[in-house]
Amino acid sequence: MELTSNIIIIIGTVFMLFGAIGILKFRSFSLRVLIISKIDTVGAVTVVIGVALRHGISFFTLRVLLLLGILLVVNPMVTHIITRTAHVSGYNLEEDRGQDDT
Amino acid sequence: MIPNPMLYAILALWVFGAVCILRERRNVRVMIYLFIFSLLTSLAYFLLGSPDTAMAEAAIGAFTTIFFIVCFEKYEALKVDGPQPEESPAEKRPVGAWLKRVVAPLLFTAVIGALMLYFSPGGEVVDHLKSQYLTQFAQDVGGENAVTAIYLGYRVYDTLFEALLLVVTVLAVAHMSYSTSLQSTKQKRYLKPSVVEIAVVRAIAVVILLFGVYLIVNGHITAGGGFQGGLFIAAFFVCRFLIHNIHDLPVYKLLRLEEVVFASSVLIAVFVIFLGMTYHLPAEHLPMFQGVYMVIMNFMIGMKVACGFTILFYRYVTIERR
Repeated sequence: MELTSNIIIIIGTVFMLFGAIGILKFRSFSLRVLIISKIDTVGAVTVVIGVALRHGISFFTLRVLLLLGILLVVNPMVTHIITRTAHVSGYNLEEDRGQDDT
Repeated sequence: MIPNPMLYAILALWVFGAVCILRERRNVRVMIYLFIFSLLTSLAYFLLGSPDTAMAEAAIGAFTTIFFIVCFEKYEALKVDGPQPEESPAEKRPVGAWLKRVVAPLLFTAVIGALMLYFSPGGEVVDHLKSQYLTQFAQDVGGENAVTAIYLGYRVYDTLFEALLLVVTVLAVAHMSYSTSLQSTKQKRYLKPSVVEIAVVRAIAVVILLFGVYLIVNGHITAGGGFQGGLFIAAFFVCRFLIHNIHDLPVYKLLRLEEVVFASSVLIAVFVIFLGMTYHLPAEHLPMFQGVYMVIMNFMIGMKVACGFTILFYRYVTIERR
């Protein structure tokens, strides 16, 4: 159980590392938002699941799972707010398409 | 305590963040740097074994970021249209460039080195007052959380004056922003929240309110206390503003309530701590009395902080000069 949880936590941190590299690499708004949402959801959720597995069945795990629920609800909403605000304030997605080679 | 290598990383990041804040010209980025700075500070407090302070620091950092953003948004709206005075670029002198290239990195490394010298999280500290506080607080003040025992028992004088500072600040903001030429922005509506935001914030606000009440009620047992719980309750009112866009909160009634709560907390502290009421009680009733005292004081301080930050937020957001 210890080894499994450690592996899961490491996978989560690797996701976060890829996200950080992606933010530095890409310049266009839409790709960056995509990567930020990946850090927020995939990375954070994987790490929290690893922590919950590590502590087994206990009161601490219950609190961690509550935290997991809050993360799952709030983090996508933050990405939603960022994208929506950019859309409402008149950001043109067509313009930043050419900023990346990919 | 084992010195944690993460603390040293945070220390280096502090200096780096301070240099970033000083060098940045755009206000929005400065605010984001400031928020990251306060998050790092909160993490450092937590690693040093003080979750109470870490919670307060994180919540205060979030609130100050909101206040700064709102203030700069209003300031931009106040700016007069027309030709802005151009900032004359600083004349480039060779001496200045030399200073920048050589002396500034030297100073940077010197500052980091000096901070590392004085920063000894695992060092031996001979502190009689600390051991006195940590061994005697359960009998003297009660409760299980030494931080709460210290700030409500031994150091209640400091706590009252900090609370007075917040009351004066809120009074100043409320009265200085009052004028007949100021209008509430009842007509102007910020960006209308979408269905997703309303649903999520409505669900999260309840959790925030419950957490604030939990912090206040359990402040003398676990990490937490009046200040932190009050900040979370104020965050609940911010959530309410975000989804319902309420402009007609009775700010002046809240102000009166805050003053009354502050005065009564001063009275309770004077009666219980300064007049030594605990010495006249029989010993078997003492723990219950102490618990009741701490819960009441935490509740008073939490209510005062919640009122104060709610008033500050509403004054900053809803008042606009036309």
